[in-house]
Amino acid sequence: MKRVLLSLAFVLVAVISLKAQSRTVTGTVTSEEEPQGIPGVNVSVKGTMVGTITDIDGSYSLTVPEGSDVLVYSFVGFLTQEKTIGNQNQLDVFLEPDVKTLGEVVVVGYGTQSSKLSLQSISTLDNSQIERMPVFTAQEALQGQAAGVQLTGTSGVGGSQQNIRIRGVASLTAGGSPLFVVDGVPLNDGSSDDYSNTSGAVALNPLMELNPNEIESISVLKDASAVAIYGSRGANGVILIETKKGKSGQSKINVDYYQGIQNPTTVRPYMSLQQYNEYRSLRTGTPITDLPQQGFDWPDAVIQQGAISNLNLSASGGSDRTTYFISGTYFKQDTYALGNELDRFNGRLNMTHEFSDKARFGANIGLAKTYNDRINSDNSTYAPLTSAFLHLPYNRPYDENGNYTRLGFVPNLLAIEDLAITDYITRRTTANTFFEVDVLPDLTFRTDWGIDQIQTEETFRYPDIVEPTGSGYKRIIQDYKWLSTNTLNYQKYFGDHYVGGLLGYSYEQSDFSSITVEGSGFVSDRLPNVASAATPTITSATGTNWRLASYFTRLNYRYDDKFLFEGSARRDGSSRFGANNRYGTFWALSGGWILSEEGFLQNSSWLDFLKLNVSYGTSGNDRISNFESLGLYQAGTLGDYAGSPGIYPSQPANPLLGWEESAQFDLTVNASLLSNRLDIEASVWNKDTEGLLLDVPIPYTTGYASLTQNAGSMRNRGVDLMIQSTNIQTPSFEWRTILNAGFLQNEVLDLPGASKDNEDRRFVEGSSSQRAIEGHPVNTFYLVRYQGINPETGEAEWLTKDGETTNTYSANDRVIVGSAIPRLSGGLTNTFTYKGLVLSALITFVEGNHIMYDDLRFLNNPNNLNSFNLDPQLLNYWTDDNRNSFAPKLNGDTQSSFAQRSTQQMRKGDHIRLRNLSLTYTIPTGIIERTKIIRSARVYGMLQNFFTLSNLEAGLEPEVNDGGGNNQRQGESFFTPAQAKSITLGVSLEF
Amino acid sequence: MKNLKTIVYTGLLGGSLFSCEDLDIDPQQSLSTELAFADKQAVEGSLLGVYSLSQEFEVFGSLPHVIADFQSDNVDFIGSFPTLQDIRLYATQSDNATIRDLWRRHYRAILAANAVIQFTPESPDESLTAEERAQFVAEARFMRALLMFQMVNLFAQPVQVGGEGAAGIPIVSEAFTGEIIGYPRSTVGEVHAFILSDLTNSLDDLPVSYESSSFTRGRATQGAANALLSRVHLYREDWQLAADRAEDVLENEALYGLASNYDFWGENNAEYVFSIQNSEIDNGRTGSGGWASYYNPAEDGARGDAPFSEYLLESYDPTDRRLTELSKEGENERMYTTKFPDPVNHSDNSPIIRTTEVVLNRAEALAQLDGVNQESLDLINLLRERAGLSAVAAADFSGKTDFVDFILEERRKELAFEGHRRMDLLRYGRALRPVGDEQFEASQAGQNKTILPIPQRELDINPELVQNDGYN
Repeated sequence: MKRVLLSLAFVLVAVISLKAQSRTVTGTVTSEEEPQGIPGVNVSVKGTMVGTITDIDGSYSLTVPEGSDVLVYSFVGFLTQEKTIGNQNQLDVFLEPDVKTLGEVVVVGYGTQSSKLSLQSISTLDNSQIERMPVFTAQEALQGQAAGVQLTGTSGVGGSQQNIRIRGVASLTAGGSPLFVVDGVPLNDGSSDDYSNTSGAVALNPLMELNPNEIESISVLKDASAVAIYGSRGANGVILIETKKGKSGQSKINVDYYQGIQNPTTVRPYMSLQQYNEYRSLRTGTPITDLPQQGFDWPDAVIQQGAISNLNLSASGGSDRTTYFISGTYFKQDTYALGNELDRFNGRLNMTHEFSDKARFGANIGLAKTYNDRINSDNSTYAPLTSAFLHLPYNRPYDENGNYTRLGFVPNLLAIEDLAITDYITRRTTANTFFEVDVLPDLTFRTDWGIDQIQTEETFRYPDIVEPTGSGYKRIIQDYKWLSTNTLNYQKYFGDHYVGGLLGYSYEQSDFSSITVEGSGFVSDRLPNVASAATPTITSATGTNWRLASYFTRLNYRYDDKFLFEGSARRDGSSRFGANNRYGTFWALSGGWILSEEGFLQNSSWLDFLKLNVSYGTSGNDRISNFESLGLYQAGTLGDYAGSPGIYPSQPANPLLGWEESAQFDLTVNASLLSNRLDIEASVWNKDTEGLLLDVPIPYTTGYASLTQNAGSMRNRGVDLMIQSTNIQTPSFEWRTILNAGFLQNEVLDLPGASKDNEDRRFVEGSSSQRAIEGHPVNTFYLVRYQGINPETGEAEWLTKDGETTNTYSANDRVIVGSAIPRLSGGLTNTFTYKGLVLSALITFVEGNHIMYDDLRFLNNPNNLNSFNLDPQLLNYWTDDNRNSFAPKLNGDTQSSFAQRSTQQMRKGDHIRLRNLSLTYTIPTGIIERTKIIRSARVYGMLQNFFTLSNLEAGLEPEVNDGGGNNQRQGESFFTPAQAKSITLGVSLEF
Repeated sequence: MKNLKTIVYTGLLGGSLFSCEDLDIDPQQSLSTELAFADKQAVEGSLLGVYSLSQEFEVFGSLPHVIADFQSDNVDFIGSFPTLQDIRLYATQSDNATIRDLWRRHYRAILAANAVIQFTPESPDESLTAEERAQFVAEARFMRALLMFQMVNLFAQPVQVGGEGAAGIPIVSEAFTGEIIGYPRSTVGEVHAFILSDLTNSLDDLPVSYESSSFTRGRATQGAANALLSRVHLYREDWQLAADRAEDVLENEALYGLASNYDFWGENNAEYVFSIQNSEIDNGRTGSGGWASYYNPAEDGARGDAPFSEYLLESYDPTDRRLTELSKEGENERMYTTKFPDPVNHSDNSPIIRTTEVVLNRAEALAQLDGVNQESLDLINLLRERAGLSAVAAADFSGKTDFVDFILEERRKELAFEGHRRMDLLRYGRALRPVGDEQFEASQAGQNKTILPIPQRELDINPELVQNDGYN
């Protein structure tokens, strides 16, 4: 394959040399904002149709016909300039900004576009915004910053993923998170759940290996016109991340350091030993004095103050032809949960070199190693933040001699922390190299080779005290992905007519393999490796692969930079789909009109820019497991018997399995008003997903649980709103406000083949508490309605299906009671600048969702007396004197059913959170200059997640998700660790 | 423009060369269904898969047995799992996830058996002889019968209570072809008839034994089929057939016999007619539980959910070796059985049919037929002798009822912690808990929650299914 590509390059180079001509003018177009060059500037020969546009570094090369002597340079956001050529063949131009508009460039799929002229619905976050509000992980940077993008923290455990949903969830069973593309390399992330065996909502953050300091920009592609070019992987939206590149000129060195402390936002209440004894005595009649008088405060022991610190060093610069950016980071987090630590090293080298005016190459290389001392969380007895609340308060971690006690099923958490190894190490290389050549002045060929190689190493070693004789486990996973992307890019002005075209081919392949060993029976806890185990219980090696081959194209046409048209298409072939449905074609069309360029608006005193665009198109979702279409018999332990190899039926066949396809309509208005003090972007959109990959549950009597089918359809519709306003602007003081809000409505339209409830609605069960129901959202809570304790009888009451009060709990009385999907979510950023001081506050808000706290079924359950610790609210039981109680009367008929699954454990999730409050002080240059070394210096302090406004009682955290990335199980918690709140101080220096 | 064309074409040509990439990839850990019956090794592998699926936690990996134990009076429940707690308290709901999984895993194993029964005769491998094919099919039939019998006992009222016409379980006898069929529940009588026909039809094709002892004890044999027939007939009160089939097993003294003491646990020996073969690396244990996990104290690394109940302790004579040699005290001061001594690696075999049970079957059946009789006395005395207890004589019993009750009490003490107690009470129309127990009323034979609910999930999908009373 490489040979094919090389010969192709040779052909191209040969063509270029043939084409070389005599009177050619070259040069670079720059501005004050972009001294390294402005891409996309229209350069034309006055009075002719001849023209070109500048490439990524602002340079151009134009063949001027005989008799012409004047070049015209125009670009949206800048004043048009004319230059006489004379005898020169090098013309460098410095453009002055047109105060009316600003010409920012936005990164789109396989290229860049002028943001004012782009027809794509994209939310962009640039480095300055990230710098102003430092975050610990790259994903957090998007929090509340992009309209229509919902980020939900899943867990407070270090390294956990945040659920990112762009314009709602467009799938049930296939992955719901967007495609992440870093410098053109789509990241391995669809299978991140496969990478680790630790329990809990632990899908790891796919961007963990990326340091936020290294990011130049993040673009969130939302509408069909933006994502269709990513075809079968675009349906969930695409997030493009560009890392920082060097700029020609003087070299700069940056040092950034921050350090902080972390605590949980909230801690669940639990009974003290005294309270527990009191309750136990009430229930059993045993005098308190006969109950254990000594105990241990488990939650207090496993929740500690965490620490976080980060040191980043970077250097960037370059000569005329070569630029570089180099960066190294060490990040360390010791979370508030006992035994949970994260250490991350990463390094990056980005460079580009121009070896002629026509040809360039470059490489972006990111390396990272993350060491994660993991903990279990959620539904695991080894999870410190679960079991601490379950341990009976009289269970003690040490015996009289100070040795660890063996506590059995709910193990000794302190012994685990002290003696067990629970390591998770990730080594990742994400890199690409490219070669780009201007085949013709207006035609660029680019070949880009990328890799994303992940190796994970998970080690568990539990000591004898926790697992008798000790147990050891190691799993090594390698996920090696490479891809090649080859594009031809053409753009040219013919007078008022602009034509742009992109044609590309890409091939991508991923090879996943794993090696797992497990053993038990160790002579000593001091032998850490499985090799020392007497009995190897697992020795396994597996492998799997997938491939994707794609053609894609995009065509742009503009008339007078006023009427805009774009069409794009992609054809993907994926190994994941059935032989009969292997290929899928996706496309989009869009049109726009810049009304502010029209005569009737051009002289408006208050309107600076107004654009209207509309798009419609399709994209797909291929995130299913690799061989879901085949009928399979699987080998392995589940097939083997009595030492002989066996196989068992594991999956029914479905040769018709094909793509999920989302069709999206988008209407967007962009406006700048009041001398660009007010920017508004509003989109109305509708996304219909057809052929929803559905694990249609089939009766277990078939031998299988479900059949994957392209059966369902679902609709997401909503409004994205972004308002950016400069409220006050004086030479020394500025107040800016950015509001991002997304309104979302999700509805499952059709689930053919799925089972019907007794209201005759088809549904798919996502968990014991929630379902996707036709005509309702995909995460609809379906529960029995809990009414409370009857003040007269002291018994718990529920509502029957028909709304009648009953004392008898029955699962048949379940009804629709809410949805886990917020109707409204977004963020409000206020930034106040006074001289060198910047105060920035980000408030995020979520409205309209519900959360199921499944753990309350344990903590509020009177049956669990003597099994688990309990919620102190159980002491508030009904008596004649306490008629408005939390719990039913002691030993009443409903005591055993009180905590059955119902709305008793469900809450409204509405909340407003002060996500980030930061104060930055830039030391005046006057002072800094005296140092002669430091060019600029900044100190900053931040509070994160410090304040939350909600109706939730203490101990309940609204940002939880024990289902991780599972689309069908959202908004549920099973002792899911709360988010951390932190205080951070930092300093940033530039040399 | 001509050059442009050249380049575009060249680019496309380059691209199309790439597109020769093969998008057909085969999985590395699985075989297609066709290959699963393509040759003898694969067919045998598919058959072993049936045993392996039966090895699972929810099938013969202790869950059904511990559920039966929690419902009845041999053990206490000191665990925390809410779904098991509900069963213990007779507060089970139809959405009980543990019961759902139990149902699911049984039918998965039944599907695998059906596939072997259906596809083995069609296997293209000519080296697979007719005898081998018949044997493989017979083994799968035995497993299907065993699985269905366990299911019908859990999900349906016994014939003594509900009669032959009581709602049983769906009979699924075909491999899954892609067509989704909502099977209705057959009656208990029909299910029993199906099980009996599977067993009698497979009897002649089953081997007496295999080359290795782990297969002789762990795969279907004539002895195992006869023993299961004996149990089915016993539960149906076809006493003569139960006694005859038991004798068919015990006749083969070379293969089956009572061990002389209680050291037989965990090994493949004459005490075992059929046991699921577990090992350190291949067993049915899950994080939720397993034989050794439920029945051992917590400090051994087990869940420790199911110690002896006071009722069971009281039933033993203090010198009874079945108590003294097969129990130990946990740190929580509760007594636990030692029948499953490996809570670390869970290598204990699942004791599905023991020679002792067959002996007890025959003793009970003969007592039902002939009242107090010498053969039953002899059989019972064999067990008592092993337990270090004095022999009993005809004079010790007032009559048939007294004698049968005595045999049942011996059965309880011999087979405790092996999941038999529940059916032994129910088929005599007795309450699962003794008088004075909080659940005495709810545990009367015939009460709704003495049997399990059809999983709500199945009812939701399959309109042909009818829920058991008391779970709607």
